[in-house]
Amino acid sequence: MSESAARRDLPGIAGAAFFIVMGGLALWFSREFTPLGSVFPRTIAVTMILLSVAYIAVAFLRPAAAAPAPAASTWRRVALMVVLVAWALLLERVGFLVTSIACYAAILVISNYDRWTPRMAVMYALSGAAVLGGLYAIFKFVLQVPLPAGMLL
Amino acid sequence: MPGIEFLLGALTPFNILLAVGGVIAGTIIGALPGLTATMAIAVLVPFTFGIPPSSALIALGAIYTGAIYGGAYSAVLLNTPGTPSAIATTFDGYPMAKKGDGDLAITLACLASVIGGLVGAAFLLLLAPPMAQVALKFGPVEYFWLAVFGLTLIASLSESSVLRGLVGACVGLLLGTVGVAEVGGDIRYVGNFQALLGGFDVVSALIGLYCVPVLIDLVATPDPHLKLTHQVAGFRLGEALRIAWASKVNLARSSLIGTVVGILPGAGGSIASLVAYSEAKRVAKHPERFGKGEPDGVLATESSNNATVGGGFIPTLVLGIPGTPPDAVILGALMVQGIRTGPQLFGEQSEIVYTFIYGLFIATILMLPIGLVIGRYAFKSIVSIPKALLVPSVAFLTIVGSFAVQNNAHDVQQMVALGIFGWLASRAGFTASPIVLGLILGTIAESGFVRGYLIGNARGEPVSEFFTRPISIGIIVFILIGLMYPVITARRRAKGSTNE
Repeated sequence: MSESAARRDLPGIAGAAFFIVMGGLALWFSREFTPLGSVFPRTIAVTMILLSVAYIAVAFLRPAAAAPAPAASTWRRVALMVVLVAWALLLERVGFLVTSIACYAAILVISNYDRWTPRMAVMYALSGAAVLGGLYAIFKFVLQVPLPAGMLL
Repeated sequence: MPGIEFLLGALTPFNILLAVGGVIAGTIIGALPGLTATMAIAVLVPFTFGIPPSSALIALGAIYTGAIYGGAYSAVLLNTPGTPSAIATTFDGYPMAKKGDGDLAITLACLASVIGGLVGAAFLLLLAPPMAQVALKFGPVEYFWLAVFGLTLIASLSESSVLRGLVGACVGLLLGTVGVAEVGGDIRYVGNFQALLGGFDVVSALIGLYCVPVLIDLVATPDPHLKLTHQVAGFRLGEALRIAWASKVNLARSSLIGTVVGILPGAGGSIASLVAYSEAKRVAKHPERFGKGEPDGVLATESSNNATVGGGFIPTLVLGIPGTPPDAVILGALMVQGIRTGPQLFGEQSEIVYTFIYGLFIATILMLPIGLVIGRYAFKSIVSIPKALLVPSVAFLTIVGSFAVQNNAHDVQQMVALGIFGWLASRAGFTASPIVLGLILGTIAESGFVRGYLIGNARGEPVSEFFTRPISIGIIVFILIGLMYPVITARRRAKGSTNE
């Protein structure tokens, strides 16, 4: 295998290292548990650490062919994550409907790659309102889910 | 075989109407990420209180079987299993949709669900009492090994490496220990987050770990979410029937696996579909095609998970022990109706139980036309909707679906946090399926492990308790085969390529 094709699986090694730390923390905190409560998480944590160490060893011994990463927009990904976090945190305080309308619109803007035109904006706004309104009505009135009203609605 | 009079009893217009309505409602609810078969039944169960017991059971059975099938829609079209039973359907269903064969995958899923459902119902009709005794042979240790079996299967099915899959399964198991321990009552890994006392909710985790990474990747590129290589003109039923006929052995085997796993209380469709998928891959002429859009994978998972419906009713009706979580809700509804489950049910109240079983057959058969029509509509909608509208709509479903689990905003926060964690893990090559299954099976595994450990300790042999019981040994052998299988096939493939 040529040098360019054979690369260390660095993301995989980083992931395994993270899980070793996670296993270590799980073991550390299990000191406070009773023997009955600690036997299972300890067994799993030790197994996870050993498997992660084995994974790192294999990744160093047998470099895998590195797949080229497809071109992707980082800002859109980060923006989507931020909106989802905001949605989850604000829905109870601000109100489910208002938060959902704002976050739905924000994600719509983030997901759109085409050039905005007035016609498209109206079409998307109407379709979005229909989808959001329909699903909201199903959950709120048919399935009787008590969606929080918060400060606004 | 129980008489024709019960079949006629099930064929009343009212019962057929209930079966049609139940299948439609179940399919739609099951297709929405976050709304599981259990939830579909729980939401609709009050509507059955005012109708005769056998009709109520037919309605609940129809909702259940429809919901299990409905889970395949989002698995195929959005790579997000609508219900945990459809986890393995994502393996080949979504690649088929990406290749432009989403409509074929949906039709195959429908056919397989009907066949699996009929096989499960046939076992329920003919062999319920003797088969329920099999479930009683399973003790805590056997359930522990069964959970480990499910986890090793999914690890060995991981596209990348078995080690990654096993690490992922351990992550899921460890996440499953957060909150109040089921055995012993310890409060574990909660810290200052009181919201974690109840642990991570499985449904929220399922939505987050599967759906959020898909959304994050969808917004990253301008590529369309699904390809459409042909005009959506029909159901592709002829093509699907030909594929299903060629895979009749796979369908029969997977349906049997689903029935048997469904009989084991608590195991459910997620294990059944994984075992069936693994077996289908193991005996396939071209195992390398699995995970890349192989129709046999969809047939195996969908026939087995619908077979668990009939299988799960066996311990529920004969022993009063729910075979699967939705069965537990149905058991509660039966109690409200004044039906006492147990072996006497098949004697004293045979009219109710056999009318219900025939009703389950009718509902399963009705699922074919209903499922095909809804499936075609779902496929056309998902394909034709612009990505800019699809992403926020699915995001809304993830938020409202995870909220609806327990009417709690903490579940939504858990869902988003696990979703971002799942995306980061997938970037490092650790896929969602082993983590989710670890979380689902964590309770069964821990409960079996700790109880087995206690029994072994009381006998002075804590280790041998796990390795000396005959059924345990059988499952351990299957676990070892499951773990060794990828290594053996890789060696075979390497040998084959050097010989060429």
